[in-house]
Amino acid sequence: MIDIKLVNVTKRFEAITAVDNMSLEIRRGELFTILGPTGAGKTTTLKLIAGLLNPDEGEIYFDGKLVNDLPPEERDVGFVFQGYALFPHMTVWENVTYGPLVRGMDPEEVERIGKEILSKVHLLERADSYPRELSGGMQQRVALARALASGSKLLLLDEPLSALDARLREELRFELRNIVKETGATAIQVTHDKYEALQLSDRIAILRKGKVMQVDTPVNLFTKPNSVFVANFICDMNFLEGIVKKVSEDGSIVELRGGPLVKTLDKTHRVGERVVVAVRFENVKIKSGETKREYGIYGRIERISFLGPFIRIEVILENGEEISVKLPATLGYKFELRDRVTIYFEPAETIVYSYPREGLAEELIVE
Amino acid sequence: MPDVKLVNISKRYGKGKIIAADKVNLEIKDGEYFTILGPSGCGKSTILKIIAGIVKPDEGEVYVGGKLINEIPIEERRIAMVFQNILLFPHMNVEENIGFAPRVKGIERERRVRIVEEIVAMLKLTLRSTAFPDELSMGAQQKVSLARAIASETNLFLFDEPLSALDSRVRLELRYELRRLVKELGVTAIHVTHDQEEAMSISDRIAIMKRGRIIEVGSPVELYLGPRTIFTAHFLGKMNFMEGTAKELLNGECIVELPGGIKIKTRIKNRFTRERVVLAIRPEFIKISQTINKKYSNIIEGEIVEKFYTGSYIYYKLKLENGVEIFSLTEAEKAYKPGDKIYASFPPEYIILFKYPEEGLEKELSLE
Repeated sequence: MIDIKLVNVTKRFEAITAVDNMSLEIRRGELFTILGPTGAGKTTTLKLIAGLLNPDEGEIYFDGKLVNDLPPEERDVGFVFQGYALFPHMTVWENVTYGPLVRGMDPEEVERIGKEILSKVHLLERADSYPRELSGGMQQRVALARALASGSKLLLLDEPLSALDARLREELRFELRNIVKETGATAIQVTHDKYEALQLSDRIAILRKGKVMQVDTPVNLFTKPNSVFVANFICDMNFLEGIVKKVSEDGSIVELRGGPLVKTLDKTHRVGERVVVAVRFENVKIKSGETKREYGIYGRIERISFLGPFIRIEVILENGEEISVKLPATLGYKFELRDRVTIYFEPAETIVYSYPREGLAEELIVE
Repeated sequence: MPDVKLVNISKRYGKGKIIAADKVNLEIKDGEYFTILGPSGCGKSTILKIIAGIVKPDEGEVYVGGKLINEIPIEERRIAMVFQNILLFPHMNVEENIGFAPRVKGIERERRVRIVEEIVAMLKLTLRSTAFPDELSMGAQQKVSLARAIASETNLFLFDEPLSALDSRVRLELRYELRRLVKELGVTAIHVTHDQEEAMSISDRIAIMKRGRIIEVGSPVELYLGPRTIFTAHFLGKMNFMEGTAKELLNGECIVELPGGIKIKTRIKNRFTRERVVLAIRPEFIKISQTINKKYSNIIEGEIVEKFYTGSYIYYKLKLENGVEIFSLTEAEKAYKPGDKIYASFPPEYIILFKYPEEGLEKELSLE
């Protein structure tokens, strides 16, 4: 169990700055997740920590000790990277128990750990198989098991569940946190799946173009995203452009394009300022029919998708903008395509951001 | 018109050892968005390849628009395919890639340009038409391959995990795009995926497949709320399963006894009597509270073991008084913590019962 510190780390690949003056602190025993779109620099960050890449600038510390010049094999790191293969000539069992055996662990203890970890990734029955006999998803689980069994004080997991079928990934997500915690290691996970991040992590860092946008606990990140980009990445969020019409003691009124008004609790923006009002899909209130109510906005249902526990409805508002609503499925069955509806928001469930300098569309690009 | 019918299709690989398709019968309607959903290796891609003509079935017939097409070669089937691995011509730009099929067909340049423009507008492609594939993001590349499929002017589309290689956010966006296009064009689409949420959100109907067999076919809501098999119930989303025994009937409705002698009322009539059963209920239907709520029935005492934060909703792992562990899905506002004593209620209308599987429950729940 160790703590990790990155101080002003930069890594360039020719013209591209993959990691841009990044500073991060990862605490002892923490399950820390790096979340961001493709190309944000997530895997590069992980490889810098592993020692598989060297930073152009900046320092990396393990337990306060500078490790910039320490080769990967001396950093005592267990990792799962995409494309880093298993030992092909060893069985699943030999792959998983290799680390503990090399460490000189007592054979009985090795036996116990191997069995425990393989059963947790649902592969105990395949202990005698060779990697080539397994599917991609199974191989990835063996790689994960090997890292978990390694006894390393630091685990680096690059999309450890990405090759798995959706359903199995969901299942393992519930177990991965416990398995990692039981090893007692500090763990850093990279993913682009927000649910994986929210469910598993002690803290999450959101990356964009090599920079850290926000670091926080899942709850804080979800309830108080500090920018449009972070809100878009971690929540299912609607963004509506508007202009602050009125500011009073109990909040402000924002006029959306085309005239609809939204009441918010925000007092940090001035009258006349261009803003973005953000509302989560699941916080949008929706009523059948066009009923008169203060701050109600009329619209028409454009699309309904069934997601199992939830139903997602897209509504075209009277001002032409589209808004998404997520409802528990039991409340959503009554709505039908092209129904007229009334939409409104609770003031406490809106977040107001300054209009982004480079435009809203640019902030919402996720690729 | 492209309705598709498979009759007793079988296909084996590896000297007959691996059964990819085992007497598969399917009827896909004209204009339908149909999805085949199943775990890796269940044979779903093989079915798609048999329809496309890439793989020949060992047995059975394939009909498109009522016509037997078993002997018709792939290039004459007028079927467009989009794969997980994006296959664009790397030396052609966006416009040339999209206009490839019209050009091969000998459509003159002016009309070709118009076709490409129309498709670009329809897909809301905001890319330079002179860009080459390697200059585009994965999502944009997949949109171009979709555009290319549309340009081939066929009316049967086969999608083989078209979204699996994409970032999760981009994947969501493209999901709706796929369905919108299929419906706008009025074509038939058969989509293969292992992602249950993807299947439920875009399909008119879904076929659940396991080890070469079609297990069940139905609309997303039918399959999610009223699965006829344990596998479907398990594969389509999180489901709690509890072993029990069907006891006496109350007004014709079955009462189930769980381990520890707990009795649970159901709304299921006359299907089970004095036999081992599996009781199933989805996490979102379980109500939890810290005091006994008299409005609810089937109340069992328990304790919060663990919580899994997912944003506005939380999954709780509960340990019931009889030792059984289950999950509930609850709004995040009512926050409980591990160790809290709670009462869990199981609304009878959401309880599903299955016959206890011959090979045991665990075997039935295997996702591979």
